[in-house]
Amino acid sequence: MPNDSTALTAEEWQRAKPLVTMLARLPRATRAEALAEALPADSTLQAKLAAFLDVVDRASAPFDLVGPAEPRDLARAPIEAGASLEPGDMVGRYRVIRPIGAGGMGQVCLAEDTRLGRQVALKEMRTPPSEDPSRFGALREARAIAALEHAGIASLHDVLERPGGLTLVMEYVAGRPLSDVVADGPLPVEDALQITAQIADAIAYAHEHGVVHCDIKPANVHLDAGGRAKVLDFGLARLLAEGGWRDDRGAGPLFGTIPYMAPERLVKGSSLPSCDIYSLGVLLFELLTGRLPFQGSDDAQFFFDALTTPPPAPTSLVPHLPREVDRIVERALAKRPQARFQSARELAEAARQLLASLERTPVAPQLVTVSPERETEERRPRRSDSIVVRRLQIALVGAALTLALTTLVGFISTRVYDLAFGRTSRFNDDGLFRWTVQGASALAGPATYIFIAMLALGIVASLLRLVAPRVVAALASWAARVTDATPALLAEGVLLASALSLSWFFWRFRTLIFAVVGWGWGSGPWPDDLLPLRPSNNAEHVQYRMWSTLILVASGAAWLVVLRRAAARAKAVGLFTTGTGAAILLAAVFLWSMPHRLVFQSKRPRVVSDGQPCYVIGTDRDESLVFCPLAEPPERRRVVRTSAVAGAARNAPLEAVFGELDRFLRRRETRP
Amino acid sequence: MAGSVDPPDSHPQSEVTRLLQDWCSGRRAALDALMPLVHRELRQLAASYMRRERPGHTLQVTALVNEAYLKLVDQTQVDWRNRSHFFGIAAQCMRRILVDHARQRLAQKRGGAEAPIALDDTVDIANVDGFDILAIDEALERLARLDARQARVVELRYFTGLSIAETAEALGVSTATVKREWGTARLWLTHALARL
Repeated sequence: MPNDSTALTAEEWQRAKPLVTMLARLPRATRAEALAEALPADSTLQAKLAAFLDVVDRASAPFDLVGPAEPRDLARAPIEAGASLEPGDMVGRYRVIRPIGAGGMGQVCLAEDTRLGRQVALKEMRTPPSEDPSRFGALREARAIAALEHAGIASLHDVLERPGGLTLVMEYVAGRPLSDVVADGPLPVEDALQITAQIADAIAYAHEHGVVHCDIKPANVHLDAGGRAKVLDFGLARLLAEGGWRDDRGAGPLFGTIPYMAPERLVKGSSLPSCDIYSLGVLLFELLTGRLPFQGSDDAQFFFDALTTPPPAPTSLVPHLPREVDRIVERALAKRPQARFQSARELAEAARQLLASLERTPVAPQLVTVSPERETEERRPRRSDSIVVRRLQIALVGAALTLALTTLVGFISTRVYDLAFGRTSRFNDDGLFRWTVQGASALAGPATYIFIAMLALGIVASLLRLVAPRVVAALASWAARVTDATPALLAEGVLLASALSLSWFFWRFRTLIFAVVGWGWGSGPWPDDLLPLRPSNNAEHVQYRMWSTLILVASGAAWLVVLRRAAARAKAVGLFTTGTGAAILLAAVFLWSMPHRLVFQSKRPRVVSDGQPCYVIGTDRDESLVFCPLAEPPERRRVVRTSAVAGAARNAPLEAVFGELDRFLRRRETRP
Repeated sequence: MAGSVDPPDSHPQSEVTRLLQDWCSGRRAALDALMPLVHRELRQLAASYMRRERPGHTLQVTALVNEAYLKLVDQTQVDWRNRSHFFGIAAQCMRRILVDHARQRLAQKRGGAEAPIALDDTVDIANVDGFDILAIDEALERLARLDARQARVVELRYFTGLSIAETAEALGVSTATVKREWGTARLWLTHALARL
């Protein structure tokens, strides 16, 4: 510290000020001379200044600002690994305030937009050396992201091209990252559902605008002071992939966070809306339970679990959760994208619906602590009101569809029966109800086949999973790969497969089909063309039923997959393909149901008319329609008075017909 | 939730903006109302900054004041001149906050009473390294007696990180003057703080 004898007064300092900077730069030897010249009349000040400068010279450190005294403008400066943004730096019109984190791809800073006077987040992204970002799709992708305007999405304001990379200017969200919130433990179920629904809304909006997030996780969602969720870094993962960037691990163009990745993204790097829906499921799971669904001890175990093992039910971890959350989580985390919610909107609605049913409860769960047991007893019935209604609706629609299909099948087989026996509408006492009954009896057998087949398949699959899990994983990934083709391509494949199998079926059973149809038309050589329908041919009938059931179920299921897939991606399959597919399905239904009533018919009375055995096909008051197989075509169907046929024995017409036919054929053979 | 992440509620923001405009258009009384508001915000921000930083970290005063400005002032209502004026006030507040903090720390070290805000030890200020904040404060007091304007230049540049041009704007003088004053003030402070 300088002592008082050398201290400068205010007046002296004012006189010294214009000189000191110049004097301080001079070498010490010439300083005395310069002082004498500058202040000729004032030896006191000369001495004080000389002492002053002596102290300055000997000071261990000069007083100065650290870092650049003036703000740097980094708009043209290259983005490099070592160079970081400092408070006060300018990047174009953005002034850096402070770093707020280092993302996987580069530094993130809070900054001020000096022109618009708002806070923004600057995100630096490095490209590999010698690669020019504008050459890649990154800018195109950025435009799509910048077009998103949604309260739940942090917008992309601007993209600055700098040597070596891009600086993204994004909306700054002051708030708490959801990852911080969840680090404190599970959220109340209402909050978890509310937040998930909000995020799902934002994501649905982005999907509708063709942008997929690809990296949804709690760290990328911030809650503002009002508790509203805002999704950050929208589409960045895609943008990075488009730009040909590499992530920090130097691994390929797959960006994102492994525990939140959908199986199809893990397996083949898909970046589809379905991946976001899966990530949303993981997020909801985490909010509800405070942990991740799969916690493999290592990467291999995690991959294996994520690809093959169903996630644990949230209620098994947090017992007092309502059961309905299990269903939502299970659907969102389905391994196959087709089994998930088909849109983020659907997921949001499911969450809201459950939320609404929870909110109708009189007691707010955060305010009153209820023991799990009491809660289950008191609240669950109320909670599931809307879900019960929804399930009821689904059940009703399902029942109506089943009834319609059953009736259609009954109608077809009855029409074929009518044609074959020449039953006209006058003698047709079958109503709508009878069709349904016929259809149901026709469906009962095949339904049993399908049930047994599924059961067997399920047992085999479980055994395989136990014995050779890698095979199952490989199969699952292969199936995901196949069903991930574009819906139009998939539809054409299914169309080809069902057309081919139906053609084979037609060729294989052509004699049987022609026998039924030919009989109905009443043409062709009689009675030899009826031989395929003989009861002794029963094995062939069973084969017919089995193969037609298999083809119908397989192609029906394949079409369902294609249509759901197309709906999920909002892509048209093509009118021609859909039309042809529907025609083939209808043809399959027709072929399948055609011979039922004819081959496996209920019993009908047998009478003798004009000395020939005949069978009653239908009755109208006092008249009956009879079918006499041995008569020539015009007389084969005739109308007789009912009184003439009273007291007849009951026979199955076809068997009886064939009984007569056999006798007839034997007579023809024995005749020389 | 940390103080820094609370959004500014609209009331203080519009009030600060109005007072700032009043003051800039010549109503000196507005400053008296403005100071406590700015001071309170800066204090809260400083506390949250210091909580966030690990011990031994430097306090980014420039960042802090910039953030306070964005939080307190409605950007759509003010022009760029208001910014410099705001920083003029913020510099005084920041100085007071930091000096108080340093005194508390000193008192704690001497076994004094518990400080009102528990602050991490050894928080340095990023703008100037290696100098004791209390010594700088004391030196600035003395400089102010010699040359008030020079002391203000140091206060603005040191406690808020204003650039030469912004300092000139805040003080209503030319940039050449600020450059000159800053140069000589540095020499004076080097002299005053010299450890020989």
